[in-house]
Amino acid sequence: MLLKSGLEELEAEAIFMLREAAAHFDRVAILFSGGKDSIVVAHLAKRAFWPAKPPFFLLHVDTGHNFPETLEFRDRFAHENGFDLQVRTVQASIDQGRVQDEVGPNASRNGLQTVTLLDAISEFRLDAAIGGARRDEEKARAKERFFSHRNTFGQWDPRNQRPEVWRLINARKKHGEHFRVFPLSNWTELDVWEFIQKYELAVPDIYFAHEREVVKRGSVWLGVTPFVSLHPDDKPERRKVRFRTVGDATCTGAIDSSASTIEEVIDEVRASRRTERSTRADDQRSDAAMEDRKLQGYF
Amino acid sequence: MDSRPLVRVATAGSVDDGKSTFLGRLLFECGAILTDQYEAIEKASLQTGEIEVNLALLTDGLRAERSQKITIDVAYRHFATDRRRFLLADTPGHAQYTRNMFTGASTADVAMLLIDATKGPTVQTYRHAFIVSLLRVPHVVILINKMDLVDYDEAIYEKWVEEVRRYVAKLEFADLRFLPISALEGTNLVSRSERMPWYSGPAVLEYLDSVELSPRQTPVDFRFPIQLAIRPSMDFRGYAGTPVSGSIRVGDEVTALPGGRTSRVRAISTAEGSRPEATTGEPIVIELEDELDLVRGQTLVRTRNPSPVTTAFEGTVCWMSDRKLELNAPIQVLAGTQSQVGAISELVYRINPETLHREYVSTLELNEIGRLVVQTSSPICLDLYDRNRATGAFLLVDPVSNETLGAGVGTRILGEAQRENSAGLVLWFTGLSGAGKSTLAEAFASGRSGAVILDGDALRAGMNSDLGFSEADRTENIRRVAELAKVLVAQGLTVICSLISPMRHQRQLAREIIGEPFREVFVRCSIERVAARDVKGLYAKAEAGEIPNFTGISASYEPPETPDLVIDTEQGSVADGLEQLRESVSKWTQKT
Repeated sequence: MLLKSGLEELEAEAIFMLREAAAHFDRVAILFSGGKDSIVVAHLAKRAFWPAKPPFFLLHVDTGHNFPETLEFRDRFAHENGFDLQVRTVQASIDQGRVQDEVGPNASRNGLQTVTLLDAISEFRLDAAIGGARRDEEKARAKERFFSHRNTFGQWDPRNQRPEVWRLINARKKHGEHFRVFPLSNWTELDVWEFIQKYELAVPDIYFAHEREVVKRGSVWLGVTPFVSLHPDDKPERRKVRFRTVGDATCTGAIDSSASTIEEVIDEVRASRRTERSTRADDQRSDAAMEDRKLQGYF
Repeated sequence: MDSRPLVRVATAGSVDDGKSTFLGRLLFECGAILTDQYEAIEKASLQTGEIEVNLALLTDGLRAERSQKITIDVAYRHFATDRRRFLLADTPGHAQYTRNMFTGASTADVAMLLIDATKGPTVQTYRHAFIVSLLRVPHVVILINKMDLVDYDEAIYEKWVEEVRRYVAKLEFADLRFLPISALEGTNLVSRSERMPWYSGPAVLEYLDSVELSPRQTPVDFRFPIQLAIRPSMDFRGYAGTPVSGSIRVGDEVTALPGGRTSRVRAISTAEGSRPEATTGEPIVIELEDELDLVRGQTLVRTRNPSPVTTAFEGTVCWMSDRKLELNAPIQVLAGTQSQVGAISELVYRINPETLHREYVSTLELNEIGRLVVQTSSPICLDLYDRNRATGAFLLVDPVSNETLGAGVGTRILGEAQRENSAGLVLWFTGLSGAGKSTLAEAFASGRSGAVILDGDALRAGMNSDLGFSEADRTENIRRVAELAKVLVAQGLTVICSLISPMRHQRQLAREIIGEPFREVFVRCSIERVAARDVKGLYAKAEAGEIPNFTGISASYEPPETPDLVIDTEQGSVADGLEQLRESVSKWTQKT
């Protein structure tokens, strides 16, 4: 028998997990940012339940600091693919006094999203939220389960996770608890791009090389947007860059790049000696920044 | 497009075996450690005051792991060669995280276990070997590391290989190899080193690149656990799932189990459209010619190749919870897409994975492994794990806390007839003092609820303290015990009477009192052997004349003429005897 390619196997694994999510839970949302990982998850969901429609809706937690290209893409994607899209904003959480903006030169709403997300989960009474997080992204995410239990406060308990033995999923939960489901757990950044290439999926333009006004922050370029406060000695310049991840504009850095097609992006990713999370300021805050945020209920 | 297959590799070992150095080196050689990851662990190493960069930090991703410097949970890492991609499950070595090692190994194609060449195999090595054998990991390689510290000496390598082989002779492995390496010096990692000309096998990466990957499941048995029904409109009813073994074609006859309704495959579809066939691992939707209204939890099989359907089975389980195993408590049994209410009706024995000894205990605790009997309220499909890794595995879940209590492999399907009958039995153990009656009785009763022991010695200390050892007193002793057993067995208990009961007429008396539930079990051991063993020192005293009327010395023993069961403790072990006893008891309790 012919052995399947790694990507085919990962695709089958992800579809299995999406079907398990549908079988176990009544109210499920795909956490959809318009980034490449969530695009892949939404496409896999279409494939998993074909010819029926996926029994999931798209939920976006908008920090209000997103790139306009991504938001435009998000709305178009939902419309063209027949998904119901629900957007909840960090600004609304701020207005309600649930959270407060950070201040200072590296202020970001990244951490604030957790409260908005958990509020949305309880508003929609979600049994599960499906995310595109991958184990290869980050060392705390490397410890995640496919079906990751969250207590009634939305918290993760990494030291007492349910063992996932074989492919037997224990998705039982009590009222008020929920699961995060990560069908792409075993994928790499390269798998995501090869999937996009294989099925000729559209992705936001900011993933491809373009000219943009940027300032240097650490090892990456931060796009100059109204959401980023500049230091007095910042010298904005125009450069040809692209983004490897798409998140909040305040913490997502760009890299120098000339990759303007999916093929070129794949070549670039293959040759890269840095991880995609190295472009994220939110992970650089401390060694355990991701674990700490995840404990609170982050993506 | 990258067409390389994905190979799942599990490693186990502790820091002391050089596991972190090994993995760090392996990932490094494959270019799988990126600059920013290296910088991050470099920084973290300096902060904790280490002299060298601690490569363990690559996989020990949790704060607790980094501060305690041990692996607690499984971590997954990718690396690749030109031919293959590898998904590495790095699992903890310590006994207190056995459940996590079990988890990481459950899906592995290849397991790599590390041994320190300066120390040789440890109890941990044996535990790991036991688990990967139990889980039937297809390929197992034992890496004898730190060969540089023993001057790359072939004799030392051979010594450890011999030692491990002696232990694993009692275990089953489809493919077991040994490989000498030095992770520190990079010897035999990428290509074979000249440091060990006596070793003619492959280096680690060569091995991983060339190990023959059989398709993950047996290709014969088609098994398709239904995940959910797909019904977008009135004219489409399909069943979504993935064949976990075997393949299927349009037109094939299939049966849904449990249930047993039969139809033919009308169409097989994916998002790409219809197709004539599908094989293991491909997510598909199956439409049938007849409207059977099947549901999640049923499995489609070929009509002529069904899987066993049962309400009782035996399995070997790794206990994964802080809550101890509780017999007969309600439990949720998960297998494939099935979920059924059930209970653990018997703990047959606990296995000491380090010595492979069977231990007769009354419960299992976290990380312990044991053989038990599970009963379910309704029938479930379960293959033997030996035959099918995907459909022979099960989880036990606490229905109240929803915690996963244990994970196990099906080792024996018990027929409907072998379900425990509620009617009790009296097992009358007769035999010389020291023959092993009490040992057997205790081992049998320990893992079984509703079993009580009436021990001759113990009863003589209280209830029968007015009786001596004259024949009349012995008969009265037996009459009382038999009457008590009769009362207990009437209440559904299994009663084990452990008394020398030397004379045939005494045992006949017991049989008459107890009636139908009475079974005579002769625990046989020669007088020479029991006297030589003399565990309690009684035979020496009897020989010296200090104990009058001592059976076998100064009083006679009449062996049973037609006992219901003979357990020979002179030839066989306690484990053998217990196995015999269990089989007979399950036969005697068959529903008629």
